[in-house]
Amino acid sequence: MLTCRQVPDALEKEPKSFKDKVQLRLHLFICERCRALESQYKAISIGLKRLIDTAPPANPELIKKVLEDFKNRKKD
Amino acid sequence: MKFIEDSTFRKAFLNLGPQAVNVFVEHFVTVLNKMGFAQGLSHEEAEDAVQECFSVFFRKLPEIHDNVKLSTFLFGIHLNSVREARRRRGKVESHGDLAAIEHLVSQQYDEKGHWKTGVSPKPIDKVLNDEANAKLQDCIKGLPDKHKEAIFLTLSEDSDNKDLCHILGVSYANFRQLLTRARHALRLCLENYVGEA
Repeated sequence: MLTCRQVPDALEKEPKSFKDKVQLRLHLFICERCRALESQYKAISIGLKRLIDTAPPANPELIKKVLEDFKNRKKD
Repeated sequence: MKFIEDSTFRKAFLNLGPQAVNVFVEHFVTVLNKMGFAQGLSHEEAEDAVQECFSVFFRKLPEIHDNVKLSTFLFGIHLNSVREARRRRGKVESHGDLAAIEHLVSQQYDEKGHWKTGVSPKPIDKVLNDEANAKLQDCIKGLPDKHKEAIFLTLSEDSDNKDLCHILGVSYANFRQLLTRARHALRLCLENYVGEA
């Protein structure tokens, strides 16, 4: 049986074996605080993804510059 | 963009076919620029890091091994470009206060590894929903650079843990430890905002 302290590491482990999944699910089933922790982790992941998604798009000139550098390199 | 690792696309790209190169560059310039910005670089620094990254990437492309994904190779180089951008800014590598995080975490559990009475994770969803990016960005700033890199690399597409460990040069056990500590630090930081609200 996992302890609450082992739950964060168990949540990170990928891929999880069948045994890992059962141990984790069983613990989360009986432990409300660890379920709250799992929700926090999910919220953080969503927040981080949103941070990347909402970052300003690259200047279109940047793509041109990179392709230009590539063409110049090819000529050399 | 799974087709990027498709063998036909890879072959065309490694032969420097113009169409394949255009598709690759257009896609990854955007991805890498956003990654650099989310890790705390300014617009200019993020763009410089992308340009520098592609310059090194094309120079080193002939050295790529058959078993290394194009995206893994690119992300690894970008990581160095981001580190270089931080160094140029004169910012020394941030180690954060890991000891303080460990101490705060250990205070939450008893000697048997169970939550201490009265300690319970707070609902941080609301902070992330209502005030979104600013608070999270504040919390990310406090993370050591290596932890910051690990947590953002997990969000990069098409990369499995083996690739990410290779990019960071750490074992899988260390990688998980970096992620666990980073998430602990972020959640404790965000819980402070819940407490202040």
